[in-house]
This record gives sequence, C-alpha cells and structure tokens, in this order.
Amino acid sequence: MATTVQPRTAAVPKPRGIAKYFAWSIDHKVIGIQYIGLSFFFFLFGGLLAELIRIELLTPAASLMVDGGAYNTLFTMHGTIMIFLFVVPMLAGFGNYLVPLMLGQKDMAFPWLNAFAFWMLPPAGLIMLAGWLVGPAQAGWTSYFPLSGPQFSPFDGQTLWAISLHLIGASSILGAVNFIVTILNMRPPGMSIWQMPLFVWATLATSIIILVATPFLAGGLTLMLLDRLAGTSFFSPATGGDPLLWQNVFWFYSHPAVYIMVLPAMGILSEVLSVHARKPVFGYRFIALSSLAIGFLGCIVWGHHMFTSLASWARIPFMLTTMLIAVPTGVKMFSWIGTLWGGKIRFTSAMLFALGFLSMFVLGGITGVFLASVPVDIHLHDTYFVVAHFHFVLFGGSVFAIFAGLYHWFPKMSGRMLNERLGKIHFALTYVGFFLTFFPMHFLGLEGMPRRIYTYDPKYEALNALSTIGALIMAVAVVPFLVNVAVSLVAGKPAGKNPWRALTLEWTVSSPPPEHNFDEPPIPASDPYGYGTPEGAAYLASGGKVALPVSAHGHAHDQPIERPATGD
Amino acid sequence: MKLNRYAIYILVGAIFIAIGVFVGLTARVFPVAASAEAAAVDSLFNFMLAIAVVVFLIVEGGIIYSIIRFRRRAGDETDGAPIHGNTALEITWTAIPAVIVFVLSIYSYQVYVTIRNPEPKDNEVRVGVIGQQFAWKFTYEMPEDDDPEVTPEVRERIKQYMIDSTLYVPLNRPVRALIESQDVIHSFYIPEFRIKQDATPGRVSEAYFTPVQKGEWWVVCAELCGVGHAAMSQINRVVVLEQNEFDQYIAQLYAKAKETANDPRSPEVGKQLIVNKYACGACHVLDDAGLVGNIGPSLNGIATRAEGHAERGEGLVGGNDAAAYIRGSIVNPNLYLVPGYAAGIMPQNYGNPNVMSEDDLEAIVNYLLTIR
Amino acid sequence: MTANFAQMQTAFDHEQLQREQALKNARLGLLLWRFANGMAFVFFIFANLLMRNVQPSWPPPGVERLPIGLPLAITLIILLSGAAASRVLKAVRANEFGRAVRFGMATLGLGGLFFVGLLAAGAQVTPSGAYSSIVWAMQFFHGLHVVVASLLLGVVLLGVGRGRYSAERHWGVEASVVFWHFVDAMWIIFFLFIYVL
Repeated sequence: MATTVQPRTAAVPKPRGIAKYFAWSIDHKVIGIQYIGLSFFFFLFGGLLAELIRIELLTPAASLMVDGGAYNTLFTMHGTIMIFLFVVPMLAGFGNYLVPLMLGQKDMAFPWLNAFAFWMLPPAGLIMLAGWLVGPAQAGWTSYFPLSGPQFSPFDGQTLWAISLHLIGASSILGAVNFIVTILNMRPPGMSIWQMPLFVWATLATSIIILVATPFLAGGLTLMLLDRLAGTSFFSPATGGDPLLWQNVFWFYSHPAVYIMVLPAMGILSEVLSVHARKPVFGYRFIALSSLAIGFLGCIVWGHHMFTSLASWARIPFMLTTMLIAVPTGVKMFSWIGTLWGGKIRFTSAMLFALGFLSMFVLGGITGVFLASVPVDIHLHDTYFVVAHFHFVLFGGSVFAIFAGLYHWFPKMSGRMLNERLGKIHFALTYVGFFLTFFPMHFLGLEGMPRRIYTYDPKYEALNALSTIGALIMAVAVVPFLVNVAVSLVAGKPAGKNPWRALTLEWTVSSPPPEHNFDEPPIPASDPYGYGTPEGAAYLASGGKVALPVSAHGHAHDQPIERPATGD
Repeated sequence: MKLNRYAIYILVGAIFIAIGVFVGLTARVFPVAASAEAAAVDSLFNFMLAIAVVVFLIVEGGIIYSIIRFRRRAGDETDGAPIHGNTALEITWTAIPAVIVFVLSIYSYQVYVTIRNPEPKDNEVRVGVIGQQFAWKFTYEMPEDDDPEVTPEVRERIKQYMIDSTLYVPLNRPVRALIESQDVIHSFYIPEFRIKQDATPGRVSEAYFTPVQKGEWWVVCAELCGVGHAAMSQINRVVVLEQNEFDQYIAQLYAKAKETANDPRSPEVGKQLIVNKYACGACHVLDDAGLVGNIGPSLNGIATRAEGHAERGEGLVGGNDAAAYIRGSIVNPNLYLVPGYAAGIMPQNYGNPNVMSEDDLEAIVNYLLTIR
Repeated sequence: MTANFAQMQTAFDHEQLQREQALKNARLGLLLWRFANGMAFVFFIFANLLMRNVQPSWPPPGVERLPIGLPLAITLIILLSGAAASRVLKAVRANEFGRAVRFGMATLGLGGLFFVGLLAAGAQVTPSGAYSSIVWAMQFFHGLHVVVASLLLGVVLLGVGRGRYSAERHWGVEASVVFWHFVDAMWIIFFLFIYVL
C-alpha cells in the first residue's frame, strides 16, 4: 500500500528502442503502447477466427468444420478475444497514453499499479489461448449454465476461460481506479472539470462503470469456478441452483461492458471530429453529461438480454430503461453532426474513420431500439439480427473509432505521419467490407436465422454468401494498414509537435513526447475545442504558451495571461 | 432568405417522413405471419421501422450534407465558425427522442400484453415442449377414454407414450406450450409464429400462440445448446391442422400409445421411441428407422458390432452380452467411446429413470438388437 | 490571476506539494478500491437473494436453519478487533508507537480468533446443494478478505516496530486500518444475510 504512492525510480538500466515495449516500464506512454500493441495482435487473431467463421458459413452445409464443437469454439474464442483482449485493452491503451498528456501530467496517479495492471494481460491472453491445448471453451462468450458446467463442458478450456477473464477483470478494475484518481485529482491549474477534453470525460465515465460492474463479473466467474472445480451447485437446477443466476450476474457486467467498449470510442470521436472539422465540439456539456447518463442507465438494463428467459412481468421495466438509453446516445449523435455543421472539414484518414463511425453507429443505435421492444425482441432474440446489431455498435462504432484514434494520434506516439493514401485505401476497403458483411445479417435475423449455427437452411444461402464476401474484403483491408504502419515508422514524414493544429495539451509537446512529458507546467487552452476563436488561434500561434482566461463557453476576459519567464 | 431556409428544412423533413411512412407501410421483411400474434408484432415492427427510417435519413442526410457543404476548399486554411452550441436545439433533440421512445414503449407494452396473456382460455390446447440435446419432442393431453380396463394407473402408463417428434396444433385455437428442458438451456422458436421462449432446466416456462394459417414450418432452437445446436433447428416440424384432422391425430396417437403400454418392451415400441420420443435421429444414422443425423456414430449394423464389443468386454452394463454393450452405450456413454467421437456429446442423463424409463431402455435395446 | 499561476509554477517541483498530492491520490484510490471491493460483496448478496427467489422457502425445505450462537460471538469479536484497530491509528498519530504495536497485536489476535470461529461456523453447515453452496461461498469470500487484511496490518506493524512511520507520515497505517474497518463492516452485512434474514 505505502509503496504505490512513492514515486519510483528504476535502478537498473532501462531498455531502449523497441525493446522497452517488451519490458517492465512505469512510463504511461510505454504502457499505453504496450496495451495498443498487445490488443492489436489479438485483433488480428480474433479477425482470423472471424474469417474462418464466415468461410464456414459460405454454404449451408458443413464445409470447413469437422463438427459443431469446433465451430462453437471458433465463435466462443472470437467473441471473448475481441471483447476482452482487443476492444477493452485497446481503449485502455488510448486512455493510458492520452489522459496524463491531456491533463498536463508527468504520469498517472499510480504508475507502478498501472504497469502491474497491464502485465496481468499477457498471462491472461496466454491462458485463454492455452485452452486449445486442453480442449477449448465452446459454450459461447456468454457461457450460459448448464452448458458451461462440468457436466456438459468437461473441457479444461472452460476453466482456463474463467481464470483468464478473472485476470482481465482485475486488471480492468485497477486501471479504472487509476484513471479516476488521475482525472479527479490531477487536473492542471486552469482546467476545471468543464474544460477537460471529452476523451477524458469518457474515460472517467467508463472507469466508473468498471468499478460498479466488473466486480460482478469477478463474482460470477468465482461461482463458475466453484461449480466446476469444487462441486458446489449455484447454477445446477438438480441441486437447487438456478441457471438464470448466471445470466443475471453475467449480464449485470456484460451489458455495461458494451459501454466500457463504446464510451471511450465516443470520446475519441469527439476529439477527432472537432480537430479535423476545425470547429468547437457542439454542446460540450451535453456530450460530457450524456456519457454519465449512458453509464448510469447502462447498469440497469441487463435484463433485456433475457427477454426470452426472464419472468414475464420483469421484462417491462428493463424495456423502459433500455429504450431510455436511446436518448443520451441520440444527443451525442446530433451533437456530432452539429460539430460538422459549419466546419471546414478535412478528409484525413482519421476523419474518414470518424465519419464512418457516425454513419454506421447510427444503424446500431436504431436497431438497438427495435431490440429493446419486448414483442419485437422475442422474435429477433438470438437471431442474426442481434449479431448485426452488436457488430454495428462494436465494429461500426468502437473499431472505426479506434482506427480514427490510431490515425489521429500515431504522429504523436511515433513522431511520424502515416501515409494518407494508404489510409484512404484502408478506410474504403474497411467501410465497404464492413457494410457488406453485417448489413445483410439484419435480414437473415428478420427471417429467423438463429445465431451460432454452422449449418443452416438453404434459404439463407444468398445473404450469407454476400456476408462472407464482405468479410474477405475486410481481411484484405488490414494489409494496407499494416504496410502503412511499418513503412511510416521508418520513413514517414516527421510529424512535428502539432500536425493537426489541435488545442489539447498532448499537442504542445514534441512527438513523441519526452519521458517526463512536460518540461514545464503546461497552460491548458481555456477551451480545448476553441477552433475558430481568437483565443484558440492565439494559443496555437504561441505554441501553447498563452492562454486566455475564458469560461468554457467562450466569453473572453480582458487580459491574456502569459507564462512567467522561466529562464529559457 | 431566412424563410427560405426553414422552408427547405420543412420540405426535406416532409420528404423524409413520406419515405418513412412508405417503407413502414410496404416493408415485408418477416417470414409469413402464421399466428394471430405475428400480425400484432409485425405492425409494431413496421411502425418502428417507419420512425427508424426517418431518423436514419435525418442523421445520414445531415452527415452527407455536412460533408459536401462544409468540406474544406483547396487553399482555405481558416477554421470553421466558433459555434459552441445552441441550448434550445440541444434540449429539442433530447426531448424529441425521449417522446419517441416513450410512445414506442407504450405501444410495445400494449402489444406485449395482447400476445402474452397467461390467463387460461376455455378453448385452449395444451402441449408440452421438451428440449433435449439435440432435438425437440412434444407431448399431448390424452383424450377421454371410457374403456373400463383403462384404470388411472394404466392411463398414467399410456401418458408417457403420448409423445411425438412433430408438433401438431389445430388451426385458430389458442395454444399454450409448457416448455421444459432435460439438460441444458434451449430456446423454443417458431419464426412464423414470432414466438420464442427459453427452455430452462428446472423450471416450466410458457408460450402462447394461435395458429391462423395451415402449413408446416421448422421448430428452431435459438439458444446455443452444444455440438448439435445447428442440427437442432432442422429436425422438428410444426404442422398446423384443421380441427378434425387434429382430433384424428390425437386419437391415432392415443391408440398407438395404448397399444405400446400393453407391450412396452417390444422392438416395435423401441423403434417408435428412437424416432419420436428420444429423437436419436438428431445425431445418429439408422437406415431402418430413417435417421440421418451426423453428430454421433452410425447405428447401422449395431447388433453385429455389439457382439464384438461384448467379446472384448468393452462398455458393458448389466450383463456381458451384446445387449449389455448397447445398454451401456445409452446409460453411460463415456464408458466406451467409438474412435473419432468425443466424450460428453451423447446425453449423459439416460441412466436416470426419470429421463428414460426402464421399459423404454429395454425396448430400445431390443429393437437395436435386430439391426444386424 | 497571474500571481496565482506564478505560485503554482514555483510550487510545481516542490516536494511537500508532491507528497500531499500523493497522499490525496492514495486516499481517493483506497476509497475507490473499497467501492469496487464492496460491489463484490454486493454481488454475493445479489446472488444470495436470487437463489432464495427460486426456492419455496429459505433455507430450502428439508434444510435446517443454521445456529446463530457462534456467528454472533465472532461478530462481537470482529467488532472488538475494529475498536482495537482504531486505537492503532490513534496511537500512531499521538507518536505512541509501543502502544500502537500492542493494539495492533490485539487486533490481529482478535482477527485470528474470528477466522478460527469462521472456520468452525463453516463446519456447522451440512452439504445441501444451493443453500450450503452460497453460505460457504460467502464465508470463504469474507475469510479471504480477513487473511489479506491481516497480512497488510501485519506488515505495517513490523514497519511501526522499526520506526518507519511518524505522527505526520503514516499512510500505511491509515490504509491498513481503514481496510480492516471495511472488512469488519462487510462481515456485519454478510452476517445479516447468512444468519438473520
């Protein structure tokens, strides 16, 4: 306890160059890139599993798989890896890299804890993958009992699955504590809570959700492990247990988990849209508060995943709360369009991916309202409509935002620009491939095709074939991105401090930032999105040395403040 | 100038609403609506679709318009207008979606109440739905029988054979399905009826529907239930019959059940049980009974192979002959595994007499001993 | 305004400010940790309530209600240990380290007694499916926290004995005592849900 608050200095010589990303480091920038690198590896791996799924589904008969068990393993691991080892840690990586920089700090509040939280992930990933050695989990990422119980899943992979998620959950809680303390306690002088970048707001809301919900995942996994290893009977109906107990506790975590994966992505979006449209974020307070509203509502809607198993009367309140989530989500969508309106939009790769988010996420949001309605959901529950819905939210939303963020902050992280032409090819292929893969699934679901099946009624063949073609395009789409990153790291155009002429604090230091981030305490811009205002222009012109004291809504005071001379 | 702009907004809005209404009125995205409930659900869906289309057009239209109208022109290095927000506008676009979801909630609630009415109705038909790995089976209520030999005990015995692998329901009568599971969670789903209800082990769930169209459709399993989950959606049919056809069917089923109850261990009974009650065809091939499953090992020639296993003493239960091997393979399938097939795929609970009675087990063994 | 910034500027590298900031961070961090940890306790209560919900009665038919004598006794013991733990912090703040160690040993002793009592209470439960499962799980989960809290307090007491803390700087002592109180409080709630309600 006492050790974590002391600033630590490493006694051993630090690894340099690329090696430092494979070693223990308490520098939040190194840790952020470690998160991003590790989770990108799992993105590629999970993507490979998805391609296998789609190839199997090209035809109605079994083609690739020896049996249903192999296929069940594929989508179980695809879902688990994409959620727990890609999207969640990827966004935690952005948070680690950006939050201290955006707040003008040297590091997170607890640097050692930060590194510790990261280093729980590689073992968790290995344990997850080790499932293939002992008989992998195949009860779906939801792992409903009794299918995931000792009787019907006698594979040790299911146990490893639970242990791995336990580690990831613990890592996520430690990370969340760190973020909240950093954000609440370590804002620089001159930055009120209403002047924080919206990405920081989103990270705050996400961290609060993690603290509320993730302990339930840990508890549920503990009971699962006890049932599997110690012979207890929490979920087994034969001995008085209840399979619905697992569903309740699992969704109490896993629905908020959707917002853990979407809110930071929305934060990225607010940053990217504003900078590349050269316009202030429209309705800053509404966007900031809607993150909290979504976080709060997100914790009381878990029952909508159980509309076909929950008691009849209990479905109605969950329908109401779920419907309500559309309101703060709509506020964000409209505010982003308001941000574009009247801007000077630059079609950089980052901006294209952000626009991709806007245009696709709206579909995921709308189909969410259909699924919130109990009578409609009874038909659509566990069909391909649901698969389409959550891929529009998590791919059309989170993944597009992640790519937008990578294109936007790669220059800051590496010091070099990414190639724009390759970026645009990457975007076009991803956008077309994504739409082609997931849009037809809506119709499959409406017609009644259940999910998680590897052979299907031939009447669904045409749309499935279309979907598979889309998936193959998405696989190709990754190639230009990988080439782009590899080439640009070596030969990219030097980025300079502030290639996008952005107003948040991370752009006032060199790219990549020095280890201690700021040579002197930074002065935050009075409005982090003051594009087009004289104050914003003055701040940019002075390289972040002059800030005008204004309130968040742009009423300038009389006198500019200049940094007192510090001898340079 | 200003008036013009609002006129354009109103015009565009009217066009969007017209498109939404048109889509809502004409879209046919569902399979045939074969139950009374389906019509109500479809109307609700299309109502939501109309609103969704308008919202979708507004958002996408706003994005596309902004992209074109507010793109940076070459050489322009200035920033956009410093607009930070517009409180009236923000309150509006918070309030309008709130009103929409409020309306949708009320409408959804109304539809839900009409399609899910747990009050028993006078003319309702009750059927039992049992999920197992990896097939559905359906039980029916017994008709009246004034045969003096049919004592309550005999009736109880007959009752266990009132079971079939196809769900027959009469036209235009409300059906109450009482849904159970023998092993894991399944989900009873008939897309054409728009009903879905999980079959959760340890509890009896209910679903209600009134078939309004004659026809034959799949009974789908919508919840992942193991290796044979995909197959389980293409095993069982639901068939809607006229009332007199339905009565005939029940009479036949009853007559056969009565016969079976007299000689419960005969090979003929075993064959029926394999096909109808235990749905072995979900996983096994057996030409004699028309089974075509491909998840478990083939049952063709099982009697001959069983003799070989008996000689080698593999997987025997209750004896040391071919019958003991077949019995062992049913009640304790992991005792001996056919090469190439994994443990735990065959249902593990047939040793439980509540799941498979002694009579049923012996009838099946007797039948399989004839498959040479 | 300008003056204010200048002050902040000169204070930036000031050690005192950094230490205050670190303490402030640690206090908030521990508060958040207790919140998350508390949610895990809430989880067990939630699970307990849902399991009751599917039974016709609680304990389920055929299962006897657990005797309340021993649990009540260990509840009193853990309350006493909490009182002793408070004295540890008080003594450190008054620079009376000998007293702090004595009270710390008393806290640990009472904690140990509680733990033994908890094991005995677990042994009173006969296996009965759902009911025994949730009771054991709750006892196990709380017992785990008692062990961790004891280790923490033990390590801190060694530090107190070696003079690592002062009346001004004793975050380690504060943290371990606060966590001890948290574990106490959680037992009271668990006691109600296992034995009373």
